[in-house]
Amino acid sequence: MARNRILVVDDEEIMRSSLTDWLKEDGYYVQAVEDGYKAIEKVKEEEWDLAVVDLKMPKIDGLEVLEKIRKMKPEVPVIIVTAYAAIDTAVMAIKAGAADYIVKPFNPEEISVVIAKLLEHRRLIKENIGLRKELNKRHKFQDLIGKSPKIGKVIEMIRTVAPTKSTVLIKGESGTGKELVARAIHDLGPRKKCPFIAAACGAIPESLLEAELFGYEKGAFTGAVSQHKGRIELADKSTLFLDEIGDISLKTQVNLLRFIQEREFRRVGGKDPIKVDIRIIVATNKNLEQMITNGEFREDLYYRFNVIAIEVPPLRERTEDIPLLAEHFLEKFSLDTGKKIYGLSDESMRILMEYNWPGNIRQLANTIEHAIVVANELEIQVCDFPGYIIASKVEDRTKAATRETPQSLEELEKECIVNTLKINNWNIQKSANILGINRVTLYNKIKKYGLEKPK
Amino acid sequence: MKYLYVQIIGTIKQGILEDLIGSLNFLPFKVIKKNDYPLFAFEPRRNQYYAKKIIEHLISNMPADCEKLIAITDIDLCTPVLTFVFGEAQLGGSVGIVSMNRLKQEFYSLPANNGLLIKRLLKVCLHELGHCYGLVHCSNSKCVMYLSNNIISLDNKGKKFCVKCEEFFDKRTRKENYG
Repeated sequence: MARNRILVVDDEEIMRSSLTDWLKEDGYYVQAVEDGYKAIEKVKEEEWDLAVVDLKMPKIDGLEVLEKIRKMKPEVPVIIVTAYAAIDTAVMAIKAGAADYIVKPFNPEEISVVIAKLLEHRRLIKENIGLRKELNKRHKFQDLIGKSPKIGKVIEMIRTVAPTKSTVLIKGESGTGKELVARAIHDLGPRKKCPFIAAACGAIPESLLEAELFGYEKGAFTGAVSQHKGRIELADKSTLFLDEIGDISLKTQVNLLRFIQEREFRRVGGKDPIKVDIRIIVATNKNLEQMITNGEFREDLYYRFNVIAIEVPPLRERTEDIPLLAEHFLEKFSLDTGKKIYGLSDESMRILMEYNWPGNIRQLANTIEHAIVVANELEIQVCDFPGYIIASKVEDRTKAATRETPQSLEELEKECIVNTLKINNWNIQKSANILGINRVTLYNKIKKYGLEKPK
Repeated sequence: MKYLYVQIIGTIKQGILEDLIGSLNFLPFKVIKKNDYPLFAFEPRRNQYYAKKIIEHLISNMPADCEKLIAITDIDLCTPVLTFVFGEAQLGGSVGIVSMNRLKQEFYSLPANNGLLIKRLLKVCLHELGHCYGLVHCSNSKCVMYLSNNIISLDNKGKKFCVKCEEFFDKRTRKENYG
């Protein structure tokens, strides 16, 4: 088992060597530096399990070093030590995030217990992160994450259709991961070595869609200064994924149908037919059957696409996957932002599980990213979520309350204020923002209703 | 021929030293007695002696045939960062020091008990010698290398090495004694 690594920071040589000797006897790997700047460099460059930092040092004092370490590596506990005990500095140190504040010389029993406790806590955090990663790997199929029966069915379908050449229609609400399903089908199939070609039909202006899909010859239209290969041609021997297929015009539907029937096409402005061998996957969040009835989508084209249909469930129908997805995004965005956030509080996970997620997984990802950016602690708290997530919770509770018993306007207002304060840990500013009132008004209402922050 | 030196700093009761040496029998030994207290190591603000300063002094005056040296004293020892120590040693080095001051029952306002003192002294001596041979603290609470920060913990631990520590200690003593 790797030894715990402890960094000792003290300007006095005798203190450094004394503490280093004692810690080494306990089997720790110890390095000692004589000033705060060197300590900051060490923390930046190497991994440490604990830092013991003297409070009073020249150049940069222990509290500044603590703040820097907390910013860079918030997971490293820092013990502030001092020969000059004072309540105000002790409070400052703890408020600044010190794991403990100890007066020199230490009682050997006291310091052993403190260090052992902090290192054990750190070990548990590391173990927890490792186990969560392991769990995420187990419930990860290609880039699809989940253990719910519904996503299990999707994965089974992917495994079944991937080796075939059949056209696949992927249905599902926006943000459910339809493109991930398409990529998984491609990556597990015989065409995986060729590039996966995608076209977001809804995002491309109708006037450009045909050129984008079929390509064009030089001079085919104003601006066509050279020959351009379309997505269909680029997908030769590979997979073509057409997203938002319900957004294409009837004219483009005709051209697509012709191509699918004959497996050849002409570039815009081109004379010669081009044959390609492609596997087609399409996706939509629209109800194509309804569109057929409305005359907005061609029935013959629909039946060409609907050879194999895969329905991707909305997130609210697979809530048991939310913790795994949340952990996945937590890890991803922690890495992207360089911020070390180790998990979500129980209350914040509960809020995620109960939210309706109209934007599905994409919305969940945005929510986690937002929370990581604003978070101040090692765990995401409810108050780190965007306001609309918290407000929906308050709204649900208020609705539930009003459905059950008739209440006066004042009682409703009081209940709404109490719930908002509770969810935000009595953060007045955040609660005021959510309620849409200013701080002073909120303080007045707290006073009016005789509300008190629980101890 | 290399020896385990036992150096007495201050005074020690007759009989205690003989019992102690009888138990530390993994090397031939020699005894040195010095009645003078190491005033250079005294810290008047704490009314204690810095163990490391004494160790450094002992190292610089080590006899040529000394393999390891354990100093035993009745003064109260401390380090700059710790309020007290029962003993202190160079990890992987040659010298250790043990204080009887907090091993005596009288320190805790209890009647003297020589038998208990000898047991405690032996444990701390073996513990510090273990450090001299490179052993670090052991997580086995019955092993003599277990870290004891108070007298109860010291009394609860065993007077021998655990299997793992003994294996390490044997290897080291064979290596250092026989090359």
